Amino acid sequence: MAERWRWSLGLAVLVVAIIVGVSLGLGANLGGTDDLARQAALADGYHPWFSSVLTLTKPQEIAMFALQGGLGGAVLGYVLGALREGRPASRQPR
Amino acid sequence: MHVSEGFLPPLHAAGWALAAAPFVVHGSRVVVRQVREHPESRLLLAGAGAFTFVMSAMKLPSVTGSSSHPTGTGVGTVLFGPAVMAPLGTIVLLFQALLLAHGGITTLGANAFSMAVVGPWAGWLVYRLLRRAPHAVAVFGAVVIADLITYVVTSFQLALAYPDKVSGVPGSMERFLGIFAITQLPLAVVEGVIGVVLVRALASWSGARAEELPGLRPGSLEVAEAGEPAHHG
Repeated sequence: MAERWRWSLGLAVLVVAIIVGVSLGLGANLGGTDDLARQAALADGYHPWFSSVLTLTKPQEIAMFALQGGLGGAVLGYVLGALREGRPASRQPR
Repeated sequence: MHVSEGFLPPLHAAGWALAAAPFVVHGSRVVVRQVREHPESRLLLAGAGAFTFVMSAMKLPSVTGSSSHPTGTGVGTVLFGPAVMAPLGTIVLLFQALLLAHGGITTLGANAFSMAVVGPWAGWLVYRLLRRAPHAVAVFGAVVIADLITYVVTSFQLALAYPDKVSGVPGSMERFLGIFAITQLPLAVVEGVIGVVLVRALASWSGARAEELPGLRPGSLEVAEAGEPAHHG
């Protein structure tokens, strides 16, 4: 397997593992700052005039964040691997 | 740091969208020009966008007992200047609004203005101010400030929308900064350290000298030929 694909897979797996691990472990019972800000606004008597059509359960939310991180990790890993190979994609023979 | 869907009054939401739009349009043109004139920089551009994707997906616990996530816009700012981060950051925010119910479409302009516009420009300013310092220090400063300022702007946006009944916007700003700032500080430092390592790796592996990165000198990115020893900044 070319170095760029090894890096891509490796970084994607690492990022997903960190996101899922933190979400289920250390951060499982922690509220987010976004939630705290939302609660502060609601405490002021504000009612949101629009709400997201998408409602995610906690596991779905973790999975989607992991997907986002995994996609980013895969691309970043590919870039790092390609640079390490010393043959940036744009300069390879087509 | 995202302002949630529907949590800004319609006028505020429209105002912030109008404020962010020119930066996103201009940034998109800069990206197109960058790719056209320097096709070899496509990899680094993809890396900058991917780093924002990764960092903004990482909800990390902090010392305050709540969690938050880094923004990931500082590295792209160092590599390409602040303009390119407006479209790249907005794409990330749009992804999160549509697929993660995080942030929102109605608050996309406000979130883009804080994370993809002001954060990168503040980071770039620090990067320029520290240009005579060791490069790692300049990168660290840029990444940390790009992260922190995002949350300061978010606090301001919320304070404008929800002024305190007694102390007005300043009092409300203090309240929202209390929610965001202390939580964010350690996360910004972590992002700064990761940013230094990543920029160092990207710069040396691509053969670009640090002082030649477009963030400092637009259009001067050089990529080493295969097998040619890389320059180190």
